[in-house]
Amino acid sequence: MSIQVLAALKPAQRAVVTALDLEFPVREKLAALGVRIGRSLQVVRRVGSAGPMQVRVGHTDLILRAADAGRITVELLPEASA
Amino acid sequence: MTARGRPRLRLALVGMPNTGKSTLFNRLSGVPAKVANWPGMTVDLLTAKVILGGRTVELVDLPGLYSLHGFGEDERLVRHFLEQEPVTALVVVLNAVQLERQLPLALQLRSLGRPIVLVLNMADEARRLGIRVDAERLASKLDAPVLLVDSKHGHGIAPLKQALQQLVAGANSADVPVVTSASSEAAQLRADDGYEAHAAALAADAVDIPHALPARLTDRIDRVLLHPLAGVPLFFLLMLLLFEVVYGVGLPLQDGMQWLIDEGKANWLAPWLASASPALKSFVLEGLVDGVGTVLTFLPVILVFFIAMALVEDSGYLVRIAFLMDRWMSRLGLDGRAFVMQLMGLGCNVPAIMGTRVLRSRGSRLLSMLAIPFSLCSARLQVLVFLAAAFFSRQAAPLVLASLYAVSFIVAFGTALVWRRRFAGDEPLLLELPPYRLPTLRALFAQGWQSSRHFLENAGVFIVAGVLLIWWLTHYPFDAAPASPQTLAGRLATFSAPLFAPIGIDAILSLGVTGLVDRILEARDRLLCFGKLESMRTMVPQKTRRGRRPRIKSLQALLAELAVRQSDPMMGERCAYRFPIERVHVPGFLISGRNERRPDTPGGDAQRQHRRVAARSRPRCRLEANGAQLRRRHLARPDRTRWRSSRRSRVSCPGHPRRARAGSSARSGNTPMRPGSSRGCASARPHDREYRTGSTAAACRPGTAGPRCTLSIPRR
Repeated sequence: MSIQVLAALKPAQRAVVTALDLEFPVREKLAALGVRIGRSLQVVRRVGSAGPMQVRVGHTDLILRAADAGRITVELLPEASA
Repeated sequence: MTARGRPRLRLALVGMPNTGKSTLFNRLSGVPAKVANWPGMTVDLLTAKVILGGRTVELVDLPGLYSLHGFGEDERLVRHFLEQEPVTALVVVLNAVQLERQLPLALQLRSLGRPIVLVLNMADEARRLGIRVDAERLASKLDAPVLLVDSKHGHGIAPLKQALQQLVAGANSADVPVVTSASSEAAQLRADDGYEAHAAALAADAVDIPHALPARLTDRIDRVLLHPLAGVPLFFLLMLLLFEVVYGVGLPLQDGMQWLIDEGKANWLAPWLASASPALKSFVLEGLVDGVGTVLTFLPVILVFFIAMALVEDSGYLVRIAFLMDRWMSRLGLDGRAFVMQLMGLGCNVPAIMGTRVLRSRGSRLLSMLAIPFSLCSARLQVLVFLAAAFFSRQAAPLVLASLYAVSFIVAFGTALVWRRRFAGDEPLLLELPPYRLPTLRALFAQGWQSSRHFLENAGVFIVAGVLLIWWLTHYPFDAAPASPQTLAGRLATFSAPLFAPIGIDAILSLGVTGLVDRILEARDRLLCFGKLESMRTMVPQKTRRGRRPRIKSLQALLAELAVRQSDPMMGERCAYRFPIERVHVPGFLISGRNERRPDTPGGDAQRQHRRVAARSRPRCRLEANGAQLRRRHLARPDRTRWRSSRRSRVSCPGHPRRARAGSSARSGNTPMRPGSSRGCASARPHDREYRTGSTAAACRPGTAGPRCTLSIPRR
């Protein structure tokens, strides 16, 4: 299991959130949408290589910019568990 | 810790942030809350004593939390409270609109083993969104009372109090504290996943979200609409389709509205006011009715536009557009949703600017508002198409047009770029991507109407006031000829003439430049498509030296053509344009509404100019022209356009049994034009374009000079 930032993930990869290096409003909003430490998420798709990404957390899909995703540290889950 | 003096029954309000816990707290307590300091806590909690069924109960408002297992400060705090302080029961406050996402917390709290009461707050909003919650079903599944409450408006508070009363009636005293984290972290996470699944099942069973497409179908649609390559072209295609619908439906409606107003004015109001004083008559017909009419004619397009916007927004596509376009828009300090508005601006800037309200952050809203007016609306397109055709070869014209579009985009986005530092929204693009939904027709209409009502209330008042002010300026004092130099507007124009004459701007035109009138007119013109007037204004330097005459003449001829084109149903109606036409003098071709002859008025240049125009454009209520023919002649000899010579053919009504010589009839001074006859003419020869002066035929009658001319649009 490798630690990396969410922004580096490819579509269909799953990971567990380990740290959120974000300021108050963004962090708060992420929490409301379900992105919290310990939660597992899956990247659904992204626009281009630097564009925003669509992430699935539980039953919620959300979109976030790569800049924000770059500050979310995740632990990659093996493909098999997906 | 149950210190003496503290009541033995305690209810704690728990829930996610922004679920209206505090509002509910105030509703339940009904008394000013007391701030209590709890041992071991860094924040103060609101508490209040309430009497429920004769027993005193302490109500505590706990901080919002997302998860019982979260790591946030507030979450730790709540855990700490629940572990330290005995609580009789938990009042779990959930936002009924986001029930699916909030239920897991309720399940977590239920697992603590305390009695819970589920309060689904914001029930009114949920109902408005078409979300139906089966409270009884949910209650039986959770084995806990579930109540729909709207704490903001106080709905459902009484039943809630009753339920709480029942709950505390059976309770003895505050129990021992609960244990919130007995298991390991890993076990908690596993449990949380279980809650998620359970919550999803519950929501699917008891919550009816309107026509949400199944998740798999949403995925499948997204695979197409959010395709890395096809997504953006598809988006443009869909928008094009939407434009077509908006204008295809909205413009005929606008036309109908205008017809209704004109009919009402000519057949009802005018006869009714026949005996009224001229000033009152003029005020009602040319001030009030025109003002209100201007607003009303725009209502259909605005309504249709907002219904379309509601469709885009409620179906869930708007968020997806944001997702697709954000890569480019974020560089401008805007988010993807602003792009939709920019595109809408191509149709008409006004609703697009109104539509920026979907942008939540004030910064990006202002930034989009700055950029949108630079996108070429369909009415400006009309002007540009014509200019391109007039000045460039057939091969070059499309390129010219395309380059104009490119320039407009560059300027618009450049504007955003320049101002982004000042206004850039700090709003992160962090949005939920909801499943696709089929909005109900009712919801669409409700939303469309709500936005349109806003327009009526806010812009409407302003527009009517503006039109009335213009009317006043051009009519006061009432014994002077409307818009003549004796009126307020005329005096203002004469006053500012010395300033503007040297740069070739006519006195009356200068009124526009001085801006006093125009500030107000703008409110109207912006709605009625600003582009046209603006381009006209810049195109008509009225008074020039002899050397520049031909060019200017051709420009003026061009203007005349424009006036004809404005009656083109394909283009002109897009902006149902009216403006005080005296301000644009086109020699030999009537665009002047003046039919007052004042040969003996002494005065300066402005008045001479007026006289000249007045002499040339004798009252003619109707003027028809075959636009194509006129243009051909004009293009063939741009320097020697001879409008006068073609006048004879224009004043007749080809193909119509009553070959009205409007020019001569008007000259004779007492043959009023029959209201509505021009319409018959237009329908007899639909390809003939026509326009007439005066907002109604009656206003064109000699002696009752209308202050402005209306280019009327043939209705088909």
